[in-house]
Amino acid sequence: MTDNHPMQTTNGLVEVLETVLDKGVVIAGDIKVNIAEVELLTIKIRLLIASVDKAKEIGMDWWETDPHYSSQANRLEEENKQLQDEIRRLEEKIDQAGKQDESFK
Amino acid sequence: MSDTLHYLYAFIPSSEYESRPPDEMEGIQKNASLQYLPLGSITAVTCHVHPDEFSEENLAKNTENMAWLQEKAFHHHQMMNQLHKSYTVIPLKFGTIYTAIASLKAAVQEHEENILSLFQALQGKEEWNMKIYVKDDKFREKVMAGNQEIEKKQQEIEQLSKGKQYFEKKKMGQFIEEQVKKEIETSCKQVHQKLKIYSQAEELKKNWGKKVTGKTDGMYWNSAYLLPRGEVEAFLETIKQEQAEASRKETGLTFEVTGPWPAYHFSNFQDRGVQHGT
Repeated sequence: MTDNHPMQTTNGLVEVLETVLDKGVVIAGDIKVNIAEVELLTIKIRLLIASVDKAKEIGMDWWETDPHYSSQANRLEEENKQLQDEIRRLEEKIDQAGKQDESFK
Repeated sequence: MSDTLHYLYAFIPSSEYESRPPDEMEGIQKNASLQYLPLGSITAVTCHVHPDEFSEENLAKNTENMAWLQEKAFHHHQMMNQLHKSYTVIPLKFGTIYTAIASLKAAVQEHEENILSLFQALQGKEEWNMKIYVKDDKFREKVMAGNQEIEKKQQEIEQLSKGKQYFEKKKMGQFIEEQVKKEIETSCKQVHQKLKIYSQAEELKKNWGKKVTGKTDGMYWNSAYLLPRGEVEAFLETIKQEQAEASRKETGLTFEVTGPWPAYHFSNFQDRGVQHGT
């Protein structure tokens, strides 16, 4: 929050997904839509953004030329791995929940 | 299957729609614009969409494509904000789609009473969300510094045998973390209480983990407020003051406010209705 009208224009990724995919009035449509858990989606989308933008930012030859970038890339790789693990964990959770709750549309 | 499907964004009051005709806006499908379908006092805001993208089968594939989902979810969000600038809006959840106008009409008829009473409840109001992020080491220092019980216990632990020390230290660590959490929660609740003065309804939401937010500070508070427009300024000013005080005292609290949103959290007429949130 920096000025008089804090962050009125920049609703973050998490918040938009959380709100639009998870909230709002639910009335039955004719088309069934199954959207995965928002937590999982957000992580996936963050991964996607990270892989495209950050890769550009870092450049192609970071691993050979610059130790600073190289360590940054290692960190990203590490984070990437953690996020992948998290996705796997959540997907397993959803599978289990899905078996218990088939009725949700 | 028909070649046109109807994507439903929102309901707005027909009286408002008639008195303020909307600008043309591009819909969720490229080259298709938003349609306004008056059904008595309720106007449904829709867009024609193509089965290539939105049939049940194709939609299932698309919602697994993160680039697609992100783009469409943001579009849904932006359209809703546009509508909300001019009208009282009941926002539908993303992906409410009908194969025929007749079934859309039937759905509106079924919920007519609820929709109309929601229009009244939401008129002139908007939703604002607040999240509080916390640097918890600040609180840890505070807990450690001010707590004689902890100090005493730590001295006792030093006297124990190595093996016992291990377990006691572990217990001690857990105790401290619990205290930190309690302290943070108390601070957040105090702010929430001040903000509740201005809101008609509020909802406490789940805090997101760091993997989701991508931030280094943890999220410790996440709530939505339904505010009459006249109260928004005071609401924001309160948060601004809280932030200023937090910065001055270096408490490690960061406030993030977003809005105005259509009343996503206070529109669910299927259960408890507007007074209690969803």
